[in-house]
Amino acid sequence: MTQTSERSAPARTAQAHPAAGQDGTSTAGLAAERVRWSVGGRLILDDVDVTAPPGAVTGLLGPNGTGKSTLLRLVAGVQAPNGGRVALSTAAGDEDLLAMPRRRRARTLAFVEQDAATELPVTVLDAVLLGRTPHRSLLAGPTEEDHAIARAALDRVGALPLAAREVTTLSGGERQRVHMARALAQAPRVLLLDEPTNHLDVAAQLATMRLVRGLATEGVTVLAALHDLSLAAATCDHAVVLATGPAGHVVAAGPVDEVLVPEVIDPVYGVRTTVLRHPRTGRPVLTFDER
Amino acid sequence: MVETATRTPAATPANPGTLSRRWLLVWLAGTTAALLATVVVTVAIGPAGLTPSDVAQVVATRVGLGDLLGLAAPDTLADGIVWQLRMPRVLTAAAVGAGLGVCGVVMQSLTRNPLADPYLLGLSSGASFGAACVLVLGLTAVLPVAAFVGSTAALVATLALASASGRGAGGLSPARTVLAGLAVSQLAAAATSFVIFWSAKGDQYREILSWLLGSVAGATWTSVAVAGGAVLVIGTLLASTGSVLDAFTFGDTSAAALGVPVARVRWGLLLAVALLTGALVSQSGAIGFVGLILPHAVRQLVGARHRALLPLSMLCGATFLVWADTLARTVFAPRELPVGIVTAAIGAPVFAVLLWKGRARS
Repeated sequence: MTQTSERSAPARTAQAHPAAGQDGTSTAGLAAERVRWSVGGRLILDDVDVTAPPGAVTGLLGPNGTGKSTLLRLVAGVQAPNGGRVALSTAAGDEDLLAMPRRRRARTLAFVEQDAATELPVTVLDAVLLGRTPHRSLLAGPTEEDHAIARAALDRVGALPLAAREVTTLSGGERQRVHMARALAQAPRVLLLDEPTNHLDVAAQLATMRLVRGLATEGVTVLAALHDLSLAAATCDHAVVLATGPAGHVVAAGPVDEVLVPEVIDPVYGVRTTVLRHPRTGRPVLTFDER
Repeated sequence: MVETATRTPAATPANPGTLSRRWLLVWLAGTTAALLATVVVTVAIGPAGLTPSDVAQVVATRVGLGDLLGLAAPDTLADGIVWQLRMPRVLTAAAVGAGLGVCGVVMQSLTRNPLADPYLLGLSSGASFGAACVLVLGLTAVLPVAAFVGSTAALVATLALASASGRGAGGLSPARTVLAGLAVSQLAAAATSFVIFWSAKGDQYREILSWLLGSVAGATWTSVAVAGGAVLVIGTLLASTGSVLDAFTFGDTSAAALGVPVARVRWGLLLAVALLTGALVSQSGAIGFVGLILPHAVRQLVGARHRALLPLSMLCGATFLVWADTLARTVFAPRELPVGIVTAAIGAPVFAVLLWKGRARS
């Protein structure tokens, strides 16, 4: 929040990755620069730079404890970093996301955290309507338009038939779809996802990632923390790999083909990686052996 | 922008928003009517053998509508019983019930804990401690202030204890908050006992005990003004925060991601709850279970949306406490029970049933 830094990096990023089909005003890239975070004197994130090019899916990878979730929370503005800057870069110029008024930030950026749960008997439709909160006065109730948008978002994730169900009665995969729909109802330009495929079966994982790809095609910038490297290889355009040592820092960033290679993965995860090619898609498939 | 989000889906049932709004109005009208009827009927109940029409006659005359409606002047005895004794008591009970209902909803939402209410989180115990201190010192004039200071101190202690031991990031953990509240409650109760043990004499003991058990038996028009005023101002303010509380459904992080200033909202609302609880406890003592049970019961009826839950919990809380107090003064008449005993006797079994139903559902 307090630190200022040079403005060249995000501008260069925006030029280097022009998203296909973008109209120049609605897509926005994301650039976190020299983000620092420490808890109780222990440094968790050490000058982390992460760029998520506009209209692309960027995977945030790294072993447990490297601060992926923390970084997403800082980028989302849920917590203020101890230093660094998070910028939204559009054709019109850069904008400091952390200095942006909260409600405007919530209209720009949506964050799906891991395992968000409730014990309250809220219906799926009401849960998705929460996504409209930053779009209306806090004293007003949801409008007809909000209902239409919430239903469209549910339709988009294939959960419209669940609209009247209570969230507490849903399976893990169904609940994840509802959270995605809530994020879509925010109509964001940037979508942050923390382990969106956690606890999901294979089909639900693929459905989630297909949805994410579809959103990126429409110009939404996605930054997703992922554990499954093969899923990341199949889905992401770009990847950023974090490692500890002792604090979380970036060890590699770039196109997914260049980053998901044994030279990067092996030292970070402490495994022996073999990269195969998917016979049909040609995307990398990663398998691992113990060292 | 997400393009599809603005696309209108093919099959939308007719105006779900309007429908729920209309239902809310129906519910509000129904519960308001029930509260008004409750007030008129319960004021008539008692050994004097009054009828609801006697009550209406006294009230109409007192508010200056007697001449307008061509009513005969009510007899002095009826006037005294209705206007000086029972009406203040019933209205105080209604105000306290409404206040506890809305406080319960806010506490449960902010701490995401279905067990949270002003009683369980130590607020009532803190307020009682404040009240006991000034009663022992004979400073009845500053009782509301002392009760507020006590409830605020207890709230701060509970939340500090709950968040100091919690994760730095995740906000208040529901289980931790209740445990912290229990600890603060016990401490405040022990401190109150100490004050009584150390210094209370004669009538002071009874007076303090009535705070601890909760009672509106001594209510006057001043009680109505304090409790009713607090409920009208703070309760109405709290009842208008529906959308904000909704945003806390999935926790602090998701509320923050929806653009809610989480820390400011939490402390602001909890301070308002402490203020309101202090005002209520100063007039009625610590009445348990109303803030716990009513929000649960109303949620079962109308769902978890706060725009409906908050005002309906207020109205139902008022009606509930008026009937509970009516039972308290009639069941063993001419002996009276503290209303806190009645709310506990009703509340504990109801709570057990709600827990059972909740378990069966999940």
